[in-house]
Amino acid sequence: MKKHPIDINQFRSRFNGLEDIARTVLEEFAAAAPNLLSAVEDAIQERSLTKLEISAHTLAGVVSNLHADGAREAARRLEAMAKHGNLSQAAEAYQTLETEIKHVLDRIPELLTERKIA
Amino acid sequence: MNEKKRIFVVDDSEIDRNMVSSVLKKKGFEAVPLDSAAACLEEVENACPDAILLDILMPKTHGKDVLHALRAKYSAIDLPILMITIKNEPSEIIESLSLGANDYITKPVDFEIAVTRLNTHLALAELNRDSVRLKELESVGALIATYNHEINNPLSIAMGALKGLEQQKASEAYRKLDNALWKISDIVKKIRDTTKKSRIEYTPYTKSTKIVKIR
Repeated sequence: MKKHPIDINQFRSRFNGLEDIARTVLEEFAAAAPNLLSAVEDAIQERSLTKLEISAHTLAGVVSNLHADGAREAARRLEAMAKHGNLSQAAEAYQTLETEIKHVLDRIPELLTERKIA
Repeated sequence: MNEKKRIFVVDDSEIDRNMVSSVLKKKGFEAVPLDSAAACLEEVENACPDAILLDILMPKTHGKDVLHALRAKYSAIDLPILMITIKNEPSEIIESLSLGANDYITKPVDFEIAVTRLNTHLALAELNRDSVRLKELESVGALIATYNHEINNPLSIAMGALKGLEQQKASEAYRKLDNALWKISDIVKKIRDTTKKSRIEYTPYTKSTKIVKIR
């Protein structure tokens, strides 16, 4: 069975009783994800360690709120690369991140149609 | 009326900032979302927050630099600051606490734990303010006792002298003076009794406020 990009049990548990906020977080992430990804991609292309560390860190923080562990780890990996000044595998790591984020985005509309998500 | 505690939520991530602010509002706080370290440092003077939730890694100014700047002016008791970040390495936590952070919350934020920790630090700050107020009241009590003593001595001397004049069949003016001095003496006695009996008592009023009674 394919692993869910969002740990839905953790997500429901944390947002228990905060239905409207849970929905807003999912909607805001769906809207902001392209820009958050672009910031990471731009930083890699510019070879800017500072920008990459901050943009990857921000994205990791946001997806951690969704309990999207795969996306979180991919973003954290890029953040660590920037912190250690080694971008030799950044392009590959970015591809992984992009794929993970896509999986999360694909799941969000389905989640939002559920009557109760938290 | 129970005033809402004002909490700054400082995070460059709009989603995180809005999410935490919304949760705090639901929990009865006044949340002030701020998107940068500069905004935090600017607003802290105007808006006088009761506590700050501060992201560590932000563009331009680091959260730890904000913490350092704020601690130069406000103690951990005066202004609780809780660092909030995805970084959970022990060295990061130790550094933040060493710089004066009251606490450290990792993302994903467990809202119940975060609010409980926040309330703990707010309660400690309130307890400290109560303690300062109590010390002020105790100082006032000590001052009254000193004045009482200082008034009482010359008053006794004056009353003794008056008694001597009375024995020499003093005039109406002396009788009036006698009455006045007895009244002053009575007031001094009341001040002394008040000082002896005064103590501070705290009475629970609501869940988070108290009435201070002087008895």
